[in-house]
Amino acid sequence: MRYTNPELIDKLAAEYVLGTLHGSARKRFERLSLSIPLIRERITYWEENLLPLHEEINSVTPSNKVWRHIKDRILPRSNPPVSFWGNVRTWRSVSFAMSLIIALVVVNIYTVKPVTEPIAQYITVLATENSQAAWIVRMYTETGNITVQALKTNEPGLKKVFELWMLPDGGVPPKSLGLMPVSGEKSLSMSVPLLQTLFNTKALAVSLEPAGGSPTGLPTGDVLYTGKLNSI
Amino acid sequence: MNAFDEIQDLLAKTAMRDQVAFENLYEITSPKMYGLAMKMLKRRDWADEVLQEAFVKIWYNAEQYHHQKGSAINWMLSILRYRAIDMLRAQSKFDEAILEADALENISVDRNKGKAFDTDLDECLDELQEKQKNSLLLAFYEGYTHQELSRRLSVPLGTMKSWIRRSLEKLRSCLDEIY
Repeated sequence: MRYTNPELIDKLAAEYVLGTLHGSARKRFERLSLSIPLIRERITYWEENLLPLHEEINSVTPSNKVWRHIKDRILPRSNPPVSFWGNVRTWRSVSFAMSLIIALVVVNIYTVKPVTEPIAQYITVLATENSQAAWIVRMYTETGNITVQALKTNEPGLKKVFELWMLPDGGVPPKSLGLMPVSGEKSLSMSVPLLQTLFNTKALAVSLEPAGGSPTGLPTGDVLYTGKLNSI
Repeated sequence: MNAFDEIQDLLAKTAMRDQVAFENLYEITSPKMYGLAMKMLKRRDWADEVLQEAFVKIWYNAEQYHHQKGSAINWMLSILRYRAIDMLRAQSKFDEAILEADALENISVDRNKGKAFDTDLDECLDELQEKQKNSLLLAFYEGYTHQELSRRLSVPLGTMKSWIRRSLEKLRSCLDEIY
């Protein structure tokens, strides 16, 4: 499919905003929108033109618990759990600089997540060979969710994207977990087979790929960032 | 300051991690956002979850909004809407959530009830054939796929796909002429 064809992009953007573009085509288009400005532009065009339809939707006041849950997820709690320091001790094999970063991340996890929300079971800081940290990845085995948080703006360059991979043990080929955000936070999810592979995985890696992600299902570009999986 | 400017201002402050501004933003916009979630999902527990996720995302991504991306409220509604669509697709129990039998009539009535004047969008929608217009509105309001629309309206899948495609093309031509 040619994503340089403006007419095609417009059609796909219209169906994306309408909601009729679905399945893998929707996911792919969403991924491409991160690296192709024309896609973002056409999505915005259709959002601006179709979203006024919502003006006639009745307002409904949500229950107070929704705001409480939001607040619990984004605002720091006053008392971090006692188990925090115990977890840090288990990471002494990591270099001092990386330990410090991970410790900060763990404080973040325990302070921004409410007690009732699932806690990440694995955490990784993805960094260059020179220990330049770029993303924090949290993996939730209970739900199969992954959150990826960029620690700074990570520009892959024109028509390029960064793709996240699991590196399983025992000669099993890398498995793609999705495309990385340039900045901010992004949610990814793991299917059941990927979750099973996760239990046999000790590290994650990020490779540089063409727009839209690796065309082969395996890393095709340079592996620029890696991180050891830490269970917490 | 009008409501649009106020939401834009609060969103800009949210991007600076201003918690009070974020709470005000939630106060002002959550009824509209929740109304949309309920309209699409029909279930309070799903709507609660989608609203929560949307606002957490808005908190973490507020700095990614800029006015060239359109109005702040539309940016926020889009975040919620796409999450609601994802949830509808992920829930294999889509049929449990779908609209009541007379939804199609309701939509037609809703669009014309209590309106002081027609918007450009209404004008363009009215240029579509009734069935095509309703298909478009059902997809938009209820998050239906082509397959679900074709089943619902008893037309072949290929016909439904072409209705949607042509309707969107006509809509774009009409909107572009107006602007």
